[in-house]
Amino acid sequence: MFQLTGFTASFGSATALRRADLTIRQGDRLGIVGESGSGKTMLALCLMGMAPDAAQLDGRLEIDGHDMTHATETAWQHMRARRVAMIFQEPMAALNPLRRVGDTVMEPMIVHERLGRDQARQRALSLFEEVGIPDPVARLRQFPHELSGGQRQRVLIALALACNPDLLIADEPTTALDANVALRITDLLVRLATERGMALVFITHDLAAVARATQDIVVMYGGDMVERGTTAEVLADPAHPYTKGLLGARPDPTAQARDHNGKRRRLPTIPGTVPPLFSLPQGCRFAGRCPVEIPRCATNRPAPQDLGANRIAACHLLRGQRP
Amino acid sequence: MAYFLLRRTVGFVLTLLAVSVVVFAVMNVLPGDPPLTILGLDATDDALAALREQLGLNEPLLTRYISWVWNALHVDFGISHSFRVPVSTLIGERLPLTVSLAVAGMAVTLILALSLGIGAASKHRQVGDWGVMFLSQLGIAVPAFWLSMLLVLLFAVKLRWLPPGGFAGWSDPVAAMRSLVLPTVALALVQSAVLARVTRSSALEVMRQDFVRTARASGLSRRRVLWRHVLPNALVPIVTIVGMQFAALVTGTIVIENVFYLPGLGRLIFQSISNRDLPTVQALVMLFAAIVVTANFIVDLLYVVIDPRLKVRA
Repeated sequence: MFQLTGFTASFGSATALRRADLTIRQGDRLGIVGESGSGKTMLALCLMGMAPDAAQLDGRLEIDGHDMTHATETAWQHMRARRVAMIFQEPMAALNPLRRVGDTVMEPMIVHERLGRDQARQRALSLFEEVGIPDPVARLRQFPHELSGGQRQRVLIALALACNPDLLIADEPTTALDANVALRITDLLVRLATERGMALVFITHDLAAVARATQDIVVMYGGDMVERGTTAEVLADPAHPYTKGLLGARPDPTAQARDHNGKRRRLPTIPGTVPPLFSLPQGCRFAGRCPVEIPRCATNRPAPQDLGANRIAACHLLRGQRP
Repeated sequence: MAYFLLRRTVGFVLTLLAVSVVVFAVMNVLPGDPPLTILGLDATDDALAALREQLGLNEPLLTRYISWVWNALHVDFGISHSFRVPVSTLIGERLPLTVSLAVAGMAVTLILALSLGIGAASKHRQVGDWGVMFLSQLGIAVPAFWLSMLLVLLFAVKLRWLPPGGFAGWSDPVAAMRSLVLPTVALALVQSAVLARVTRSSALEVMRQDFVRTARASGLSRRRVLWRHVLPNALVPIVTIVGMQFAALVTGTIVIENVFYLPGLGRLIFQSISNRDLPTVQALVMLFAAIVVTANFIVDLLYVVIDPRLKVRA
């Protein structure tokens, strides 16, 4: 139902998203991982029709077969909330501070579905119950500053669900929350997606959360989708050097804090940083930081290779079979 | 919340008291001898002394201050030296005109400034934004009395759509409103130029915040996001300026009423100053000051109405 084909978003010479191919079907739970600046959020905003005005879009973005690549703001307003909804990173700042949270959650129902206030309040109440907000009748009348971070994120989830969207995009929904609350929000999103048969795109750099929440995964680097497959397989046996590096950078709680010489072990990292958008290499975006780079990498973009069983990775060193 | 209200109300009363002391003190150290003004230069010393006694000018300052405040609280500001009628009657006759002018000026200012400011913010760095910014720069630079004269030249003298000045009273409401159109516009244009800028920058600040993105992500139209989500959050600085502008509008009527020859409080204060009409000037200055202090008091209360977070802190 949501389909990207060779979709590109660029700002002049800087490409934030390069020829992305992606299909999201009903009930899919898809994780998108990558460092800051890898194009994850850009991808999400494009799916909402909320790419910045300065972005040039190319390729094709379809929703149920309708080409939305260059759709007008009005056309997108009909899609948002009803077809695709999104929750954002900072629950502290994402709610209008002057409005009772109930009014915020009811607004899209009143605007899009022309519900009366009483009907909207009924639905808001049942949504608050569904997302696990205790004492929903009292909460409806509270202001954001009267709620905790976790409660606010639940309110934002209720807001996103207000008009029964087919796809829910969660952009790092747990980054600003403490670990305990983050886990519960992640499980809540999975439960809601399963119960409602709603597709979920879960954007994060928390690999544990991805493993917990999603069936499929897309690994992004520098605006490219470098690897894709089922979450279990990609995490167990990464094909792309970047994915390997990303997985290698997870702290291992079982490792000794000191090595056999008694020196403090450093956490493993991927050397270097993501270059700024305008100075990314023309070929493979990972060239320059890649441990197994060959001369071609910097100039030729590796084509996505089908590795079988829905595994796809874009690397010159993969020749149609697993290395 | 109750504590906040109490504190602001006490502050309001104390400010008014302080203002009354300053007004009284200034009026009584000003040069010019009221009996001399009333009786003229040919008056005999005996007559002057008698009048001075009759006006109570020989009493100690404190006694005179207390009786002035006491009487003022009972809407008695004494007898005007030049008009020979109670000052309260003079004020009562002229108050409706000045209040209409100030309220209409404020209303036009709010409508113009909010729509232009929000419009400019939504077209940030586009032609519409530059247009509004250019016009408001012009509006700020132009003095109200000069703008009034230009308006009279165009709409009264050249096009003959509206009267150039004067006021025939409220008996013919249509004519009365027609004579108030140009003064209102002259008052409002300058103020809305300032307020449009404040509105624009405050709205731009709010538009960068996350909850605006949330509102857009809920599929709300740009217009709805601007008026229902951005504007309320931009209101605190706007209301601050509006409070100050209401004061400026009320005092601005002094100039405008003289330019348009309108019989309001502004003209009265001007005439009374020329006539050394101490009781009238004193009452009017106090009245204008009280309006300004009240406007600021209302603004203070509005903050809490606008932003529920302040209730906790206040």
